[in-house]
Amino acid sequence: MRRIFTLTKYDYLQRVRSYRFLIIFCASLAFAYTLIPAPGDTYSTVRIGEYLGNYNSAWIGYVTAIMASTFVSLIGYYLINNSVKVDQDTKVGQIVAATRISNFRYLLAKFLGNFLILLTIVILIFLVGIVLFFMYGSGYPFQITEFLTAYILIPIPTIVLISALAVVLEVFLAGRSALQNVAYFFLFAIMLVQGSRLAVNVDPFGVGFPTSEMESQVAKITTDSKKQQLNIGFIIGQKPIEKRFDFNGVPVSPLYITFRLLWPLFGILLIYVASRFFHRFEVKERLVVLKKTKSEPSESEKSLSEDLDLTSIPKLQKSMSIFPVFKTELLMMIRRGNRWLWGLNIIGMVLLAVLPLEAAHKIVLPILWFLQVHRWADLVTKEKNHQMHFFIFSSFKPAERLLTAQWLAAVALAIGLVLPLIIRYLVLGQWLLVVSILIGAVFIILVSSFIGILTGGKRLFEVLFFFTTYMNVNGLPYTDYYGSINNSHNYLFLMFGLTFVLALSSFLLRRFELKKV
Amino acid sequence: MVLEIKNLSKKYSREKYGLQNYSLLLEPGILGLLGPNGAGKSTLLKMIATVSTPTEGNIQLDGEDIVGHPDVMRAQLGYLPQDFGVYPNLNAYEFLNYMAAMKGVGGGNLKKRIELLLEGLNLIENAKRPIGTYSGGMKQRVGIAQALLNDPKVILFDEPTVGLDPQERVRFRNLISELSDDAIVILSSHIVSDIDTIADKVAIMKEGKLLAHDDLHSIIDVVKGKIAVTSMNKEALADFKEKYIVIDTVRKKGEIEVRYVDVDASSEEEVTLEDAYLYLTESN
Repeated sequence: MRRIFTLTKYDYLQRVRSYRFLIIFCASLAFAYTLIPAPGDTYSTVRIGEYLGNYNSAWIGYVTAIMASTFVSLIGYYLINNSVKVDQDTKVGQIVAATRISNFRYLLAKFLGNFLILLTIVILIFLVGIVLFFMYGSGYPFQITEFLTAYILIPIPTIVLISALAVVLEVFLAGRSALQNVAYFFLFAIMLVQGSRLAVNVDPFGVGFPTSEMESQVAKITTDSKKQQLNIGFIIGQKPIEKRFDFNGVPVSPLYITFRLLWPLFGILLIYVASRFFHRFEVKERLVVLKKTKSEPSESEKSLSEDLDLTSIPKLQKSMSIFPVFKTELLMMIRRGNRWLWGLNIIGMVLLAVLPLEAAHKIVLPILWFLQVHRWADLVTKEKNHQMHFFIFSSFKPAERLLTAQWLAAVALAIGLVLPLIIRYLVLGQWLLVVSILIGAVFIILVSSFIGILTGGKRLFEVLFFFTTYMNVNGLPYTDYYGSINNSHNYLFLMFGLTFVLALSSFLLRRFELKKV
Repeated sequence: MVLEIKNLSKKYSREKYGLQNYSLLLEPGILGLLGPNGAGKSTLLKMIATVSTPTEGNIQLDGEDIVGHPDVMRAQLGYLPQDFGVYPNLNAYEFLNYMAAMKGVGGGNLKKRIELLLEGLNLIENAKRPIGTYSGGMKQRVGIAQALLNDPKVILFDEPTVGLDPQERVRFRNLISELSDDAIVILSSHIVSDIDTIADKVAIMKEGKLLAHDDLHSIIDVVKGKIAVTSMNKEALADFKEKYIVIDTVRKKGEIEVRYVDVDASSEEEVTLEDAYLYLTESN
């Protein structure tokens, strides 16, 4: 047990000390601050029809807990989905594999590390919730038990489950990070949609029971069924919501507690099952051996030639063309990930060609682009990830030439994938929509480039892209960067301006980075 | 061609220097850069390679400041860093084409040059396999190929023989000795035998400072007459080490033969670069 504790402790410390975690932490702080709208604000996060709860301990506690449960499960996964991979990449895994630690204990330590990361974010939201209670204090007494009950029952079991799922996906889909991301995307959607259709107590995120209680408390005030409907998410209205009700918290039933306990136990059971199949860091070596056996070089080929005469090698001319760099960057993107993912891309392209235009533009396009997340997320960070940066940064004008080639290659891939839809719009003469998609392609690539250079990693972009795509598929207008909902000239100018700012910022950041290596 | 390093310092924190007040003047030929781990060899090479900026001082190539104008150096640089990776999904041809474009060279001879380099480095048979499947030595050779790709006039090799087997190390030394006629080659290593057979000049570093810079024989002459050999039992060795700089120990028939520095020895013992290196680094 002590060994697990030690592993967990250093795994946690190693991860929270990263710059990337600091950024996610700050983003979570900003997110938590918006969970309870300030008096006079026109948006809501949890609303029952036209009603909002008075800002007592129960309402603030449960609303922030519900939002924490969904928010942390949505983006938190992308913070913790590489704990085993990091050990594999750093070769620490090979050392671990040579120790006596069992697979189950190792995976349990990784799961606990994941849990502590997510718990840190949940505690942050919890503390911000208390601060907001006092900031917006409307005369209600502070009841810490309402906060504690809400958090212990709602987000804590959820993050236990998510932490376990992250480990399980890493075990069963080892070395296939793109597939892990896609699998979780669909798993999350299924858990969210199907979970709410199950009995309210069974929902994996734990929001079904407290929200049904909120609905039933509103039902005592109004008989209009439309006014009892639950709305979760950032919904912006024209004016502040004036109708209020007193939310008295949730009468905790033994059945609800039992199911909230069952999900974490289910997660740990999954880890146990996964431990029976855990590769114990043999994957990469096995792949290399397989490939080597195909064309093992002979002994004589393994060494340097004695006949290399450097003076006889033809000299080269100066060439400022970035086309070879563009070509190779595109080639590397195409080769990234599993080949069968290209099968999904082709299906997506066919759907763009045959589905009704609205569905193709609003749903298929963002999902198709999201499927490229692993290709774009490390567009500008792969030099460092592959320890190529000393070669690259000591080459000729790297900021100007490489960055431009990377942007062009990624944009070419983005546009190439959605070409069927662009052609359909061109045939219909829908120029505005064509330009919207083109700017959308450039915009998302520049977001990845800006975030990559700023954070030095791909995690934050993965999280944001996942979050954005989820919002896009649900038809929310605020994250529509490719003109499926917002396609006016003004919106285009706004997107163009943002794109320009991102390009300029990325370029300046990269130049600064080159100077301070 | 002259590479001049003037009062160069790299400060990591208030009291921690990677390199301190370092000056060196280099002309075509091979400079062997010797020093223990943490001596600042890689820090110096990174600054010459323009991937790291000095805190103080400057570096000039033929009178042009390369800190302010890094592209002057980059246009004629071949650099093999100590720790480097490759893009595993590219094969050797694709990787070298990519690096040529990054270095701003190309033209009709590119394909031929890449082929000849791959042939010379015995990678041609495996040139179409993804580099991710290469052994450590083969990856190191790909690194060497990219360093030589643009016919560089300043070549920096940082611990280039890591991962190479003994035969490859000998051949690598032969290869770079060919480069010394019209290029400035800096070869950093903490393995003395990598340096003593090919370097025209040697610079010895410790804790970010230059201890000595001279031609190979002058450096070796520093310890001439100061090396002695004696035998003793195992118990006496610990006390002996406190009084003298011990270069080497060899176990022989229950006794230990000790090679050490004695400044008053006036001995006839043949001296090596390793003796000089250990004397200079241990006595400073």
